[in-house]
Amino acid sequence: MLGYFWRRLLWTMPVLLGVTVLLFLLLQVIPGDPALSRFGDRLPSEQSLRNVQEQLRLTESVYTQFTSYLGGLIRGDLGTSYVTGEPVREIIARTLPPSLRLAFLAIVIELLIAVPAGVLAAIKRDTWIDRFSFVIAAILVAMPVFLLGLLFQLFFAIRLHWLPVGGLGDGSFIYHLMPAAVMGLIAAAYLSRVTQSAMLEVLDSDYVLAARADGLPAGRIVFHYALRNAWPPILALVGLHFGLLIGSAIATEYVFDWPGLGHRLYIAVGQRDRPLIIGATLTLSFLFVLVNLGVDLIQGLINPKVRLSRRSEIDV
Amino acid sequence: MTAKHRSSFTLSLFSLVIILMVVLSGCDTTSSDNKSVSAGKSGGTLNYFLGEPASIDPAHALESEGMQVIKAVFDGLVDYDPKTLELKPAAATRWRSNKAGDEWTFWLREGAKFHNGDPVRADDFIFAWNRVAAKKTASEVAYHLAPIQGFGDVQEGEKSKMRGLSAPETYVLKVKLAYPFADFPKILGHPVFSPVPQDEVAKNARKFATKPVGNGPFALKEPWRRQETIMLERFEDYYGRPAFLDGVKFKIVDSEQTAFLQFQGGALDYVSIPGGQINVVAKQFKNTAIVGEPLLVLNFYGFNLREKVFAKNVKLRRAISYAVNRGVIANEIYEGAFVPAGGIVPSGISDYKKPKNAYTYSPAKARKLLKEAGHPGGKGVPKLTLIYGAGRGHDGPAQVMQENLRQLGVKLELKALERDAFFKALMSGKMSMFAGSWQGDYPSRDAFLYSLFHSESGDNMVGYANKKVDKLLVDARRAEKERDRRKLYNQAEELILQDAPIVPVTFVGTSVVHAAKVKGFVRTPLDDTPLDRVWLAD
Repeated sequence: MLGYFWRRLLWTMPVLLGVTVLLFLLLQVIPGDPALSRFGDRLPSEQSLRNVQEQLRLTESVYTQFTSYLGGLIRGDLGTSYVTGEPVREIIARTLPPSLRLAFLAIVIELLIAVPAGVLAAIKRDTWIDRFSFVIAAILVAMPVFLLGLLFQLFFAIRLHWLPVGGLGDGSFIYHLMPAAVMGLIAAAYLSRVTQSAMLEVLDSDYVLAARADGLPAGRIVFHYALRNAWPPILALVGLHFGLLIGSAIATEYVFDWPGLGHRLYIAVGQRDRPLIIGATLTLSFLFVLVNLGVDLIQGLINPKVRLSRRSEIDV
Repeated sequence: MTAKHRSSFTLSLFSLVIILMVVLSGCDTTSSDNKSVSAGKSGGTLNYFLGEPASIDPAHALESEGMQVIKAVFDGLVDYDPKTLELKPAAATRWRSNKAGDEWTFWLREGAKFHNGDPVRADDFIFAWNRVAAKKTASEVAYHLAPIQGFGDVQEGEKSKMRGLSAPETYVLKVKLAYPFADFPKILGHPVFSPVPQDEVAKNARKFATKPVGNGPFALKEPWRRQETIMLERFEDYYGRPAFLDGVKFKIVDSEQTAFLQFQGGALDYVSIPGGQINVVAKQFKNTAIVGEPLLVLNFYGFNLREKVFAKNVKLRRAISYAVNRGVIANEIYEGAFVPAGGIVPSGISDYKKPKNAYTYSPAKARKLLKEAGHPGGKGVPKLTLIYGAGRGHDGPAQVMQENLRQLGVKLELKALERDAFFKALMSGKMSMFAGSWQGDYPSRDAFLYSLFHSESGDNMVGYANKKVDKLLVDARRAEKERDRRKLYNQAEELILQDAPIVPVTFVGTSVVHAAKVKGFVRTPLDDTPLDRVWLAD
């Protein structure tokens, strides 16, 4: 298994190189001069603009800029932010942990809500419970995250004064709760449907029917046999969500004023802060691969039917 | 302005939520009195809303967020009265120019200290100003120092020190200018002219960027925590009256909407009011909302005078200016937070006098002028194009003008461009009209009239050239007496309005609110709050 882990990790290197090249070229092509963005709404003088361009080394050829960036990358240097002058590595080190904490808590909330809801909807299929769970999931999936976030803020923070409106505050758990709940709820809406359909498939299988015929208790059938075999698609989606929640929680982080990496990346794109955009995207890509690799390994551990092989990464 | 313009899509959704907000949050009505400075009570920490600044180093004092912090931490040679914007002494106790107005001497206050205990000397100003001008600093606001002799050489990296700066004595600063400039002290209240202790920058320039050491009423308590907070504490060794507040906690929030919710929840004592909610909030917090006080920002539509259609057709330009319904733009689109602009100089400037040639909405005058211009009912006027920066809140006002001109028989096409494309079009001069916004960096008529309309100014985007106006503006810069200067600037403004190189549309106004316990709160026409005057009631 360890060999498999390192092989997969090694394979991420060309992927990351590809991401770097693609992003570098893409950021050259999209309109927006990073030097000009430093001047806000004011038209700078030619000399001032040139001074900033030279400071950011934008007057060098694209090839020189790229090789210089790549050289830095190999040495572990992600460059310096065009806007704040901070090393990108430091920005990521500061903003990634809050994003990770939020994503982790969101996943816990997602699992706590989605798995019981999905299992219940599968057991009680075609009853009001199933229909109710479907309607709630549909509403949550359709609702824009910032609207749900605002409603939560208005109700739990302004009306009831139970939770803070937003921000990291002193970093305590209470500040994490509302943004994580919003992210977790929306993710749970998807996961509950996947859980239900995975459970339905397993519940209809021959061995479950045989277990029922043998007179095994319903609870044991559902939780010991059915749910265990329904885990692979659930975990696959959770892995996907975790990766997405780390970097793509831009709207949630914005609404809740959360100083995370997604929020910082959103600002960086507006400012054409190329080193930060590339550095943050590379970090997120790497994490995404890592998390999904972790999920694959867990799948192998909890379900013997899932086999990690050389040829294909997952054989089910 | 940077944090004020949000996408209209987001705004409209937020506006929908406002009804819920009012219902859920109750209807707190607060009262306030802005008592005189001497009546304050010491103590407490003010929780102040701030968008993420680009920088809090005076060398990069470009946007309002950074400037708010820098103004609390640094004192320049002069300061402005928060209400009238009249000059008042700060680090300098007095100043004088030679007869020609191109050499200035400033006498510094002895005993004033930086937050590290070092004395504030003339050399600290010289170091700071040379640092701003230096090529390697790549300051976005270095242009403020352009009047000083030798600025160009330092900007281009040929020299390291401006030859116009000297310190004949420890506490005397001499500044030689490249040209006579009687309003020179007025520009010195801008934070970019703050003194900087050389040792602190030499020790650790990166640390200085996040924990600058200044000489103002507040000092940084800890390094700037980006995306989170900037903590200030009262500087006890301040040369002037110590601040009332023990400290200021700038809470950095990107979304105005989220900040406003935090204000409602009591976590913030001051916020700007999100667009789309100004009227509701102004009513809800009628004693503490400050709405519609004009700032030194002019929104206008510029004619490209290099284009044939506008080059020599003054009457067409004037007709268009009379056709624009500024009242609708100011009151309906900007919810009364902006003020209709008929002239160029904002009313926030001291001794403001409304120009005789100021424009008002008059379709009859517009039709008459159009006829006199040889275009009755808009006949023969080619289709015009107005370009503007996309996502900067220009759509609504531009649509109003489009409709106003349609009624006049003139077709106007609107083109929202990405910022770079907009700047490139401006620089190349390939457009017929553009939407512009001009912020006066200091409270001087010169900041508006010379910058925008002198034929040799780099900011003269419309390509306007009138020898009489040029002479009046140069004479005004030379005039020793304030009264004479004002007269000359007024004459220049009247002439410019007659020539109509731009359509003045609105003066940007305030839209902020503070908690009832916050006293001594003033929002200046420069869109900042002098925090040393603020105090907290029980």
